[in-house]
Amino acid sequence: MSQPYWIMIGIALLAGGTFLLRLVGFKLGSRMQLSASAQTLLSDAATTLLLAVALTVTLFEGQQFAGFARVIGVGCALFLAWRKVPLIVIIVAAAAVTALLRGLGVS
Amino acid sequence: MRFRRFSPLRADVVKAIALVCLADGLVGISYGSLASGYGFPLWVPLALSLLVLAGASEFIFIGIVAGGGSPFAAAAAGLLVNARHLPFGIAVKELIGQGYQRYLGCHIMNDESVVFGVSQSSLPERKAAYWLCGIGITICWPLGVLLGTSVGTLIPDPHVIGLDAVFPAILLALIFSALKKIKTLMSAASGTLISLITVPFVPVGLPVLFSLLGLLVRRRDK
Repeated sequence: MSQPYWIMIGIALLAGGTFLLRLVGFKLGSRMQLSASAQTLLSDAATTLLLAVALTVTLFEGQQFAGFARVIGVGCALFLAWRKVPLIVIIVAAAAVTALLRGLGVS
Repeated sequence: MRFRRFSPLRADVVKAIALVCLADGLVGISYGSLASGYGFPLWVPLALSLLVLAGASEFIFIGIVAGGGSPFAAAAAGLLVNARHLPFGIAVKELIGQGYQRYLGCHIMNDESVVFGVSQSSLPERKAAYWLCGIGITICWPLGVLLGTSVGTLIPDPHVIGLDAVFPAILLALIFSALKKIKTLMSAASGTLISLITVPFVPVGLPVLFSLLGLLVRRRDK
């Protein structure tokens, strides 16, 4: 493994860079004078990113398929969200179904 | 009073945020125990969790360095995973606040705080949800890491209790109502399809950014 000194620099780069990404996004957003349609586009951009994050982490572990237990667990959550079930129930159900399936031997 | 700013939130939203913070803390525990299992001293995962505060990129950093990769390559891979925070920053600009507060407001930006923020109906609720979730995770994540490096082996594997399903579940549940608008759904679904198709072929982090191409689907009909 690398020397602590280099790890420290790596952490500083990752932390500084990540903070800059957050700050630059915020600054860009604050500077822009946005029309109503641009506002809608922006909120759709956030929704699109979040859906992509959600389904990517549902289906993949790194670049491999994550297995059916997680996919079915998240599928149940989606069904419950459609049925307008309270969030807490959705969270618990997703974890419980996934855990149960794994307990039963479904990967 | 700091507490007052959270008062516009409905009780079930507050409970859901608390549960997400708890889940994050549990993942933090497994992350801490993983890092110490790799042979890292406590300060490495702890510094990452405090200063980076973006779980996926920290796992990648630790994984690459533990595998003998250079910390520079690890930082670059982590930054790629975190690139989505730039468009997130644009989207939540109203929730971040002014003065020195905005630096903390930027630091607490992550998938969970953003999704809780954007999914509330009024601006005071959006702000309160963003900050409550953001600060909760800022506390629970490093706390989990700290616990994990000491008692990590006593805690069950997050996979066994299905914790890995919690994060996509909460994201989906919270954006569900936004997806009822057909234009939003078309952009989001086509963008996500592009992401999923590209996952096996490009470095982790890029596919999520590709999803923004889905917004082009609707630009023409403006």
